[in-house]
Amino acid sequence: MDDDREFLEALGDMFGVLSGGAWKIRTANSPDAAAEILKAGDIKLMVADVNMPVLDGIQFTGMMRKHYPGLKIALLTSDVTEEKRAAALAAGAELFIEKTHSPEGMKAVFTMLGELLNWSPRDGFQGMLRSVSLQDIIQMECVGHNSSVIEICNEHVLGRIYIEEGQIIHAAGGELMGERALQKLLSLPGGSFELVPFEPPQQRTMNAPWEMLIAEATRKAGAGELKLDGPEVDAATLAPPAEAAQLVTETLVCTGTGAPLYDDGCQQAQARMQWLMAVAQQAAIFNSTCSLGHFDRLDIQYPEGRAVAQAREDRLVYVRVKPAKKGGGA
Amino acid sequence: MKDPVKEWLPVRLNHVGVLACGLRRPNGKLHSQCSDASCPPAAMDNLLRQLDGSRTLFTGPNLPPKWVTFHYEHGQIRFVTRPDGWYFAVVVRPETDAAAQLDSLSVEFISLQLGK
Repeated sequence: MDDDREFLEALGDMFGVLSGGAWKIRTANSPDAAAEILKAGDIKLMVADVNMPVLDGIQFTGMMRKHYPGLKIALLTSDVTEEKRAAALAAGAELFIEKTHSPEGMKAVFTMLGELLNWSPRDGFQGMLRSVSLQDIIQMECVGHNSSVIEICNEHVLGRIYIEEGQIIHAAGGELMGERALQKLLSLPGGSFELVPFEPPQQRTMNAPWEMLIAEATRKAGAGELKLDGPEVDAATLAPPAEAAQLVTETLVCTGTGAPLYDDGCQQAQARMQWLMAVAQQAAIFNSTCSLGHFDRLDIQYPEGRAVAQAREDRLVYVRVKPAKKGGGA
Repeated sequence: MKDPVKEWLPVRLNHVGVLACGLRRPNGKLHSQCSDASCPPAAMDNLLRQLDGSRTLFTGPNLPPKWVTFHYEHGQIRFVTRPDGWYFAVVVRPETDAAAQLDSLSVEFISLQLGK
């Protein structure tokens, strides 16, 4: 989903080619169109732009996460900030990726999305690195002479640590392999991991005792030697998710004739729909006075929060957003 | 401020991207200025009058908006109303400095010391 039709088309074409036609791609240039596609079912992954005029990608993610808990969501933005990243993850996105227009960049995004698609929930437990130590889990597996794979994920890095009969035999993270990858994964300040059944890796890159491998990673981290390679690991962008700054309290999407397509928290949908039509009329009156082209939307700033209304021939959309209050309900 | 029509309003037109702007006094008197022929002062006066007639559209019970913005393909119209009866309207081109500064301009208008 992206309101930039040109980019949407380019990305869709590129993904179609890169997947060899295996991906069935549906595109939408507005949240209401995306909601319709999701409603039709059978969507496994949603990739959305963050910066959208009426309902942004983060707000839309929060809404869709509630309705489609199994949907995988990746957000793209050309304006990567810690606040947006934190809000995206808090809203329920699995990946937060910098938007790229280059073919190489799109290929990298495709690879990350492919990894995300293959990241299927399995039996086992999940944890967050900020609340449970990854080292503890590795140690537990090694001491117990277990065989397992620990999959680590955050918005920039997908990694795996292979443990066979209590020995760390391989690690891969980003573009790194072996001990460097292990050190990189152990140094991540945030993300999630999952312990899954052991599958043999394609290669074995480590044979030192696990205690030494862990100790070396800890020593390097302590000595500040883990200046990690590549832009994909940036400690500033890997902090734990923060609370979303805004809360969508009301959403109504109707067809141009008023048939409801999506309603979340709208207590008087009929009245709201009539109001949207009145807004469209008023916009037309203003435009007849000072010709400014097609009406796009009305933005209302309240003392607390804002509302956005969009009234097109084929769609009526209303979204009300309020600031999220820390430490309590909104 | 002695006379916002003379002191404050003309400066607004200097911002790159502002097509026209106008004030409505609490007594209903209108003052509009323009820097682009596509939106002459008479059109701005009309906008202010129309805003007066449509304010209930944007005002819920106990919930007056700080400001409203109509976004069009080639411009944005920002209306700011004050509890003392002053209105301010400005038309700007999208993706200009003026559009980027609409919020700060609105806050500035709300905080102006204005007479009747």
